[in-house]
Amino acid sequence: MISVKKISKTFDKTIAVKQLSFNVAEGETLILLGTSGCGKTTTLKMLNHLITPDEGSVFVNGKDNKLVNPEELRLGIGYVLQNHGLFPHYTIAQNMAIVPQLLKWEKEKIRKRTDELIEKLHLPTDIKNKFPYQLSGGQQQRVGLARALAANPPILLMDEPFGALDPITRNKIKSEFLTLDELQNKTIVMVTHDVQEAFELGDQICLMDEGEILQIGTPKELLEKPKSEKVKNFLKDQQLQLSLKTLSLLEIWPQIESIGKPPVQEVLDANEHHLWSVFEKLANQKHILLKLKKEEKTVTSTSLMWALEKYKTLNDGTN
Amino acid sequence: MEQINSFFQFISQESDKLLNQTLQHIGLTFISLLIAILVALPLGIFISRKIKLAGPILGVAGILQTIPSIALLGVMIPILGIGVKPAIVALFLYALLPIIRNTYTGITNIDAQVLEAAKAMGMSNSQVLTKVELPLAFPVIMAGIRTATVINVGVATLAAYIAAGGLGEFIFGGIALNNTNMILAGAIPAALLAIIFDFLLSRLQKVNFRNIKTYFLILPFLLVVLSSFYFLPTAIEGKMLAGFTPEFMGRQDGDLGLRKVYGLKIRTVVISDAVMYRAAYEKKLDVISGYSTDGRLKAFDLITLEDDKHIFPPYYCAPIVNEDALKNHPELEGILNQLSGFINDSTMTDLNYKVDYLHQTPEEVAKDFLNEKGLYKNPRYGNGATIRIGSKIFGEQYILAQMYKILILGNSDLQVETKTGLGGTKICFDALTNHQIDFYPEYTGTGLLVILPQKRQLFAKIMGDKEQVYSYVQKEFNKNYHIKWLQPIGFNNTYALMMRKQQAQNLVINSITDLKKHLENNK
Repeated sequence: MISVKKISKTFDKTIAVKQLSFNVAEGETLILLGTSGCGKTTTLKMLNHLITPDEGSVFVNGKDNKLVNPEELRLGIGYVLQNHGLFPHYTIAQNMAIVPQLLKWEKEKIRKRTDELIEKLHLPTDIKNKFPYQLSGGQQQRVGLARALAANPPILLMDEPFGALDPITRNKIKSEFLTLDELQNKTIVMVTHDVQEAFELGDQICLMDEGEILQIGTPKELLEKPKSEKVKNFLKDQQLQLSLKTLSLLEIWPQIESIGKPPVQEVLDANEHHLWSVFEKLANQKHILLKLKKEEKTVTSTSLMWALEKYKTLNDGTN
Repeated sequence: MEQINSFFQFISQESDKLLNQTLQHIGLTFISLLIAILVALPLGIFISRKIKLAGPILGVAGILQTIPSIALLGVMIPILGIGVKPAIVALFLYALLPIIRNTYTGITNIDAQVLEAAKAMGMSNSQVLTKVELPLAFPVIMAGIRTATVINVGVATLAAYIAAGGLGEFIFGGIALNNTNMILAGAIPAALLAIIFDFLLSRLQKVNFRNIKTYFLILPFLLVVLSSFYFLPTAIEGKMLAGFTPEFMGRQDGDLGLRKVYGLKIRTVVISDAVMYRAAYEKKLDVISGYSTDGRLKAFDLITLEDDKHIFPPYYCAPIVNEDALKNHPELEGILNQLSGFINDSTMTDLNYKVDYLHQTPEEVAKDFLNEKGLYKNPRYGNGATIRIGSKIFGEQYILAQMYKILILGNSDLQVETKTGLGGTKICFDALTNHQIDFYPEYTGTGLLVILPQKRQLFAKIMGDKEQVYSYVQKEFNKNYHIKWLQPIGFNNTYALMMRKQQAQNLVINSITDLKKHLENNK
């Protein structure tokens, strides 16, 4: 879907991006991760030709960006900004209608699409005639996402989309983001400096430093097979949390022991959850019943910790 | 209360003129504003794209802003002549800076994220400009247009100096005539215009973003309509154009008398006397009002038309002396009267020309003239009492004061001190009655109309006759102030209509009646 070949960009003698290459497959989410100034935003903006690379080429749908009219290119790529970038002089409905209007959709079609997105993104229905300044930060960011999705583009670029939100709102929107059906089949490239976020949302993570790729791979690969000391150091502080996030219940299933059959509030399918999300849920309740096919196991946080320890010792040994 | 009443009386009397001037004023303001917007808005947008050029362009516009308006108008005249063109150009130049600057500031201050979003969504540059940048910069741009409008309403009063009309005609006429009602009749509407337009534009500035498109359409339309006001007042058509000073326009012994007594109907513009003579010389004007002994008559090759129905009162010049000084120095009267009969209008014009245009000193001119007439005697350098001679603050009076100085020093042992450049009539006269000076040259008309208590009916009767006016002021001054009018010097520095010598000769126009007939026959 997106193919980047040896792109470089220099600003006033500062090298922002150096000979960068990567591919994003259709429907995949690639996270550009790194500290500020590592060139990740520059890279993102070269994908929709907001910035023209000095060298190298970007191919979108197999076509070289240099040969495509930039406006046409951008009409097919959704773009979400850190500070929403909503037009302050447009109502919410008008903001959401910008791209459809540029594409000359009919009024009725635009109206239907707007209503649909408002519902899907859990926005209040009376929001349509409000102006951006009348919205909360979380609502603004949701509208920003809705605007990018309005014309249903196959590709979505996101520049720190949750960066300006408070932690509670951020987590809420992130979890909505994960379940939003609109995003399921999209090719997404997202920039973040938040390691947790990258591991939660990314199929592939491209870890960058000083305009170069340190490592590109799945979260698990980065965690378990770091290519260099730098990669290891970058992830070190959050090693435990990250490993919990990358570890599925499936992998650890043999080590989990049931504690009996006390009454439980919640039943979870082991196929669909990471270890981390179960730990999060156990913060509020004592017991959870886990199911895998016909097998059922009731767990507490202590019993899960035991299972993790066992899993680790087993794997360390094989390493 | 009386003041207020007389003000409203003036307004109702002059309502036609007031309406015309107000419409012209609005027209001038908005024609120039419209042009300024058409130039400044694109320029502001341009420098918001090429930030490097912003400094130089804003700098130039800023310098234009600092040029004093009178000077700017003066510079325009040789290039654009007089009338509406230079006025609009000057107003246009003043309106540039606020609009360019605010357009630039408004656009460059837009949130970078909003612009990035606009571009990233696939808007072209022109779409970004019209859908995002201009609407968002609109309040700031409007603030600039507001500032420009208020500046233009103010500066447009000066248009009256160069025959472009507007409320300045009343304001400057009122100042020249010391007529408070007339000043207010110009100043109050001008102030109201500024306040009203500022208010209306401030409402426009706060418009709801939803309706912004409508306003972008309404605004140009409104500007064009307001601009067209300038052309509403219909002037009397004709081939000849007269230019009169604001003062002349408002005087009975001026434009009013010309209409009433002569029935003169000529296309008229109001103009400052600083540029009037040159404008006549350069054929921008055909008839002007002026003073009959002005040196510029000679400098610009103009002639005066005979006032055959005597609407201009006689302004014969004569020394007026405090009687105490005459009592103490009886020889003074004879000495001062020596000059009598030597200077007629054209002689005085010639002398004024030498001072005003050839830049000779009044001393030189006075000495040369007296030598030529055989009146010059070497000073005796006596050590008698000191005589103090006063003069008003213009060339003619300086020359006369110098002549009297020479005559006194040559014919007596008295010493002389000159106190020249005493502001106006009032200052000179007060100095004379308070014994701060002993005499100064005064004009009979001024004595009659400015100093003495006004008796309209009597004055109207004697006004046409120079002998009667002279004997009346002589008698009254003697009685009321103990001041003696000595013999008139001979010239009459009064209002006069003037034309280019060449044109007047070609058309055989010698008097105002001739002019009137010519105008009627050549409609």
